Amino acid sequence: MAYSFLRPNPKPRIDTDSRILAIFLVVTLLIIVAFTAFLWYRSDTMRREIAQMRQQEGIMKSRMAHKRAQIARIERLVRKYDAIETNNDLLKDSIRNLFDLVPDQITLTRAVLDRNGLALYGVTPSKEVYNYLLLAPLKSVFKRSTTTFYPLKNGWYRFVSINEGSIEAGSEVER
Amino acid sequence: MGKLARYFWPKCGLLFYIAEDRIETAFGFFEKGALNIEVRRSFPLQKKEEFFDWYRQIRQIYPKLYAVSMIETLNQGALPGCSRRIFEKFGVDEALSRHLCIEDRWSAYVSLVETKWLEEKFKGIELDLLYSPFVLLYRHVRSKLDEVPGLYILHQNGLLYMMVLTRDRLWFAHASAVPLGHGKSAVEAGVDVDETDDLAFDLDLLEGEESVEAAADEALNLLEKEDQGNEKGDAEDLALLEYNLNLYEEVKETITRYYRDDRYEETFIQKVMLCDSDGNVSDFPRYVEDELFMPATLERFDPIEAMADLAAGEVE
Amino acid sequence: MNFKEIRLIRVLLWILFYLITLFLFIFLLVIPAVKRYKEIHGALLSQKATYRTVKQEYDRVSKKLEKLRHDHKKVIEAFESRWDRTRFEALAKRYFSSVSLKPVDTNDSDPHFKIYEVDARVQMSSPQNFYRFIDALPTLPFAIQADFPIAFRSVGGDTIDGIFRIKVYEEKRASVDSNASKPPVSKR
Repeated sequence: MAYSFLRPNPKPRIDTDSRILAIFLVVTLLIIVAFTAFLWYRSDTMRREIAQMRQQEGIMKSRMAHKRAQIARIERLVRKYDAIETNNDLLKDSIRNLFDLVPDQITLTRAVLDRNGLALYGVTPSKEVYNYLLLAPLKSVFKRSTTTFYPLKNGWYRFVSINEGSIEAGSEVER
Repeated sequence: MGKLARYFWPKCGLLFYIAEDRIETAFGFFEKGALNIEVRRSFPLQKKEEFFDWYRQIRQIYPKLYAVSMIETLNQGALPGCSRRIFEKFGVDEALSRHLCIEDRWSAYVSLVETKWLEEKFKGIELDLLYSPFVLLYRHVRSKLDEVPGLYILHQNGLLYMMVLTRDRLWFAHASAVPLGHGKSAVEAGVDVDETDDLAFDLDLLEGEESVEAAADEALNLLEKEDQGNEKGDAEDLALLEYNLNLYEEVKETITRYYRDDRYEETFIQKVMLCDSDGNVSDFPRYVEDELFMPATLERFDPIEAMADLAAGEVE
Repeated sequence: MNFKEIRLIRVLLWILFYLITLFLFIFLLVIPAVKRYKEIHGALLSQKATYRTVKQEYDRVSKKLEKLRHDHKKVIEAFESRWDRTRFEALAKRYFSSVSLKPVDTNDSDPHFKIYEVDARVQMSSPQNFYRFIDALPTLPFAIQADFPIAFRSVGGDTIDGIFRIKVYEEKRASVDSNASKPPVSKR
């Protein structure tokens, strides 16, 4: 204020036109920045999602492996059990069949069954009855049959029948 | 490259002053510490609104528009010091005036009423800088000041602003009007064309009071004489001569008053310079040289240029 | 001093500045962000796909396991139960007039099963008892295999002495986790 009576008034920096344009520009840029920020945020969220899913995936995979092991185990048990049952049935059936083979005339006193063979002890009225009615069927079942007769006082014979090498019944019994 | 700034928001100035019946204006840009005038326009005083419209138009584009003007009234002056004592000594009421200390050596003052009047007259404009004619004159002649005391006069709009200066001092200053004929001042005669305005003078502060009042009666006589007959050309020449003489008389009167006034420190005026913006006082130097035996020079004075020189320094 | 022209040029300069800044922002901010987003989105989709596959498989396996567990509860129990000869004796006593057990061997060679081999000495009135007994074996919570050697001997009257071998299979448990409940998997 060296020479003037009045001090200059403060003036606005830019005119109204420019102000409007400047505001417009700033708003637009803000929108862009906001949009970018939004995209970044969503990207981050998605990334986290991916990581989470990956983690879940890992967990599921490990659990699945475990479950599969369990399944295998159960299946194994079931197979085993079924085998056992089947074998039991087979065993029962083969024994039953065996005893059914024995005709009424022949009386068994003892039977010893093994994996590979069968020993029968009993009494038969005659050799023929034995041969026709018991030995024949036995032969069809076993590979080798040996019979030993011991005559008894009353004309009947005591027999010992050793049969080995079964083709069917008994051989499937599992170890 | 500086011109490129004009497309943005440069500081620019609108300078104006009242000249008789019109408003002289100029618009320019503040570039590199100076105000470069781009365009000058003149508006009739009756059509102030046009000027205001122009102002508003520019301001819309350039918000940093500074309005600069000068106050050409008679209720103002300059004192050879800045202290309160000086103001008291010369009877200037600080409360009723705007004053300004120039370079810590002298102060310029103007009646508060008159500044309000000017603001009111140019209500559509936000005035930023307002110059006293004394300040403009001082700055205009500053480079020419030396140890030799000189009387420097600014003649504008029929008004006279006189200062006795040496390079580092103001000795005396006075504002008055060139009397028309035997006393009727130009101020009363025709400057105030806008009839709705009231010039509210505080006549107590006016030092040239006596001569104005005393010679008022004779004004009518002179005008009647002038009206009666004379061809246009002669009448004009006569009027011009008359005017120059009156001007000279006023100056002489003022010098005498200075020498007589004890309040001012005395020094011997050895030269006279008239800075004129009206363009009708080419005879004056001759009168001074012939009658007062002092070297006298006449210079052109452009208020716009004067204001432009000052404004640049104050706007930064 | 053409003010209109200056105003116009200034607006144009603003617009130019605006466009440049806009493009800068788009190239420097938006495009990379969009690229990143697209990439991650793609990755997410593929991840979702694999996840879905895995989950489907997981659900399938889980269901299968549950079904097996449910369907074969008895079998599982049979192998999990600790061998208890008293229960076996109790059952046998229902079919035979006398029962006497003699442990023969405990076979550890099978990687999955511990096998208790026991000889059973029983007395019955007819081989039918034996057959019915074999049929009744599944009622016990054990996996019992009737095995050779089997011998029957008639000991006068209506009594038959019988000897047979049984093999009891017990599951070997390396890790104790067969009863882990289905773990919670978050729904996606």
